[in-house]
Amino acid sequence: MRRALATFLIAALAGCGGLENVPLMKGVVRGALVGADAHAMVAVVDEPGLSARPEADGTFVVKDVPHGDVELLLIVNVSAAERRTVRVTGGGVADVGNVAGRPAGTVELHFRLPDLLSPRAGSASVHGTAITQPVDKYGETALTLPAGCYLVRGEVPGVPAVERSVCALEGVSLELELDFPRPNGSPGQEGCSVSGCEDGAVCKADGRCVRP
Amino acid sequence: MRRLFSLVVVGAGLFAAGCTHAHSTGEKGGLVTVAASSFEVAQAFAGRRFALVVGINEAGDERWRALRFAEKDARDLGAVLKDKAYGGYDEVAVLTRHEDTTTRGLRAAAKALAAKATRPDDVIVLYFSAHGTLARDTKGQLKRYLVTSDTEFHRVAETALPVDELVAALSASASKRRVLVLATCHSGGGKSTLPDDVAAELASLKGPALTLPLEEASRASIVLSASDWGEQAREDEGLQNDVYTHFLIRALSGVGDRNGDGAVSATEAHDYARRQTWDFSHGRQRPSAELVEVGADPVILSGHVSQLGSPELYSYAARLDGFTLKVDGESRGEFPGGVAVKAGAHTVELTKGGDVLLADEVRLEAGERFDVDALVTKKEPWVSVSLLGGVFGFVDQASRAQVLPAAPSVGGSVRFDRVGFSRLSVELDVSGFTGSQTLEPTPGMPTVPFRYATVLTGASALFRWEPGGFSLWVGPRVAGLWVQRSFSLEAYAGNQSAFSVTPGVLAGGAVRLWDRWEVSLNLQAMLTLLAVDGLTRVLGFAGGWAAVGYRF
Repeated sequence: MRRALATFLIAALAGCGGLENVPLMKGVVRGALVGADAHAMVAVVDEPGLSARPEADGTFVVKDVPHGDVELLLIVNVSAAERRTVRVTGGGVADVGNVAGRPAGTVELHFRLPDLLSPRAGSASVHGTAITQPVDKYGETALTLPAGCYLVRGEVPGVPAVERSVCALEGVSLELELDFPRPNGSPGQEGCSVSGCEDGAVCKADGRCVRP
Repeated sequence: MRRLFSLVVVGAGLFAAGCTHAHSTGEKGGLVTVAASSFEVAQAFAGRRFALVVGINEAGDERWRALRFAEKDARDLGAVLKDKAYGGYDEVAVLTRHEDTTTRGLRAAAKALAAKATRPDDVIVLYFSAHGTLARDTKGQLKRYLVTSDTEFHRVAETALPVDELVAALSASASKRRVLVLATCHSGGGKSTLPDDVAAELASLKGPALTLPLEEASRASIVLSASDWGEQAREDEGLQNDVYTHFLIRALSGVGDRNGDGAVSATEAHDYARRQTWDFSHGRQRPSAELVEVGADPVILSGHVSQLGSPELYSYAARLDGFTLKVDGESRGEFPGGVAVKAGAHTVELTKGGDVLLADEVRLEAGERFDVDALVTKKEPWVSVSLLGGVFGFVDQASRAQVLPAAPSVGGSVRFDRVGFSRLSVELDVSGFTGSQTLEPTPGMPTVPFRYATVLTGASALFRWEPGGFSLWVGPRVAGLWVQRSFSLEAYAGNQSAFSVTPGVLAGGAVRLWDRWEVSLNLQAMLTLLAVDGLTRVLGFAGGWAAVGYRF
C-alpha cells in the first residue's frame, strides 16, 4: 500500500507529457539554383551532415539547419558558385531566393601515391562541409568552389589521409597536388591490399605493389 | 473520578442492602451504611483551594509614591478567602512585609503556590495589590511589570516582576483552575509610575500603548486586572481599600453569586467588582479580564455549589466590548460580563448605537453557562467565494525564456474558514489563461512566437490570524499545473503539453470591506518537475493574485 502510494506520488510529481524545445532550435533553408547542372549542390559550413541536391528545376530545401546565422556554399554548376550567410529562425524558413552564382573557382587535385599504389578509390572533400568528390583512376578530380579559403582533404583507402589549405579565386583554376605518405602498417592502412595497384602492377603480400 | 465514586457509592449501597438480609440470618460479612449527603460527598472530593495574596505599600524606590491600602487590601482579601463561611481556602499566604515581597521572594512564592496544586480541579489564586509599571525587556518589547519592595526605578526590567512570568508560573501548575488578580495598573497614573523614558515614549503615542498581550496565558487561566490599559487603578480613603479590591471582597462575601448556585466564581466576582468599580469611579476605571476557556467549568473562588444555578449569558471576547446585551427585549448591561436569566427560551440581542449585531433565540437549562460570542461566531460567514486575477511565472530567467514566460491568470477560489478549529482555513482555487508569447530557446537567438494555455488548480491548508479588521494566513499548498504550448511556424507546427503536481506554500491576507465583501492577496511559492526535451527539470515558480470575495 505504501509502495503504491509512493509510486503514485512520485508519478504525480513527475507529471505526464513533456515540452520539446529541440524543434524550436532548427529551421529550413530553401531557394533555387539558376542554371544548375549535375555538379550543383548546397552545403552548410561547419555542418558536414547538412546538404541538398537541387531538383530538376533547380529548387532545393535543406532541413534541420541550426537556428542562427549560418554560411552556405551554393554550387550552381561547374562554373558558378556562391558563398552566402543567412539567418535561420527556430521553426522558420530562410529563403535565399534564386541564386545564379558568381564565377566559381576550380581546384584541380592530383593524388600522388607511393609505391605504385592506386588512387582510383580515393576522394577529395572540403573540411567542415558535405562537399565530396571522387577521383578518377588517374588520381585526379576537380572541386568547384565559391571564392574563399578551404581545407581540402584527400583520402585513399589503406593510406593515411592528407589535408592542404587552398584559397579559391573567382574564375581561376588552381592545381593542387596531394602527396600521400607510405602506409605505416597500422590497422586500416594495409597498402595495396586495400587501395589496389596501378595498372600493370601487382600487389604483394607485404602490401607493396611491384611490376612483374 | 466523581462518576466512578458515584458508582462505588451506589454499588456499596446495593451491596449493603443485600448484606443486611444476610446479616439477619447470622452469616459473616456485611457493610455498615454511612449516612452521607451528596453535598458532603461532593465536598470530600472537591478540589482544594490555595491562595497567595500580596500587598506592597512601600515600593523599592521612593519615586513610586507609597500606597496607603495595598497591604490592607491583601489582609482583607486574605481574611475573606480564609473565612470558612466564604472562601474556605485550605491555605492562604498573605505577604506584606518588605523582606517577603522582594522580586526574588515573590518569584519563589508564586512557584511554591503553583506546586501546591496537584489535581486539575485544585484552585490557585494569586493576588497582587501594588504599583505596576511598563518597561522594555531585553528583546525591546514593552511589557507589564509589578513593582516589588526591591524594584529599582531605572532598572525595571532587571529588578521588577514581569506579569507574564507570573502567568507562566501558574500555567506550570497541575491545576486547571488558576486565577491571577492584578489590583494595579500600568498607565503611569494612579497605582503606577513609569520610568521617564517609557513615560516620554507613551506620551508621544496618539493611541493606546502597543504592548504584547499576556502571550503565556494558557488554558483555563484567568487574569483579572483592576484597570484596563491606560487607566488608573485607585485607592479610596472612604473605602479604605483599592477600589476594585474592595468590591472584589464584597463579591466574594456572597453578593457576587448572580446565578444563585451558592458559589461565587471568578467571573462572577470580577463582573460584580467591575461594574461596581465602574459606577464608583464614574467610568474612569474599567477593570478588565483576560480569560481563556472559562467555559462551563468556572473557577469557584468562594462558597460551594449547592444547587444548579440560573443559566448565564456571558462574553469576555474583546470584539464584543461595549455591546449591549438585551434579553427578551430588556437591556441587561454591556459586555464584557455576564448576566443570569431564567431557564427556558430567550431572545438574545446584541446592539451598539442602534445597530443590531445579532438577534437569536437560545434555550438555556439551569446551570448552563452560554458564551454569547459563540453565537456571533456561528453567525459569521465561513465560506468566501472570490474572483481572482494575478500572474505567475518560473523563478529562474532561463525557464521563463525557454519554457514559459510569466503569464497572467484569472479564475476563482473558495475558502472555508474555521475548518476543524477556529484558525484553520482550506482554500481551493482554479485559474488559467491563454495568450500569445515568444520563447527564446537559445540565448541571443531569434525568438519563437507561440500560443499557450495554462491551468493551475490548488488546495491549501491555511493557518489564520485575525489581528483586527483583516486576516493573515500561511500554509502548505499542493497544486496541479497544466501547460500547453501551440506552435504554428513555417517549418514546425504542433501542440505540446505537460502536467505536474506541485507542492509549495501559500501566504496571504484579506481586508474586510463592508459587511460581507473582502479583498484578498495571495502569494505562492511552488516547486514543480517538468519534462523538457526528455529531461526532467526541477523548477521553482512563484505567483500572486488579488481577489475580491463574498462571504457566506
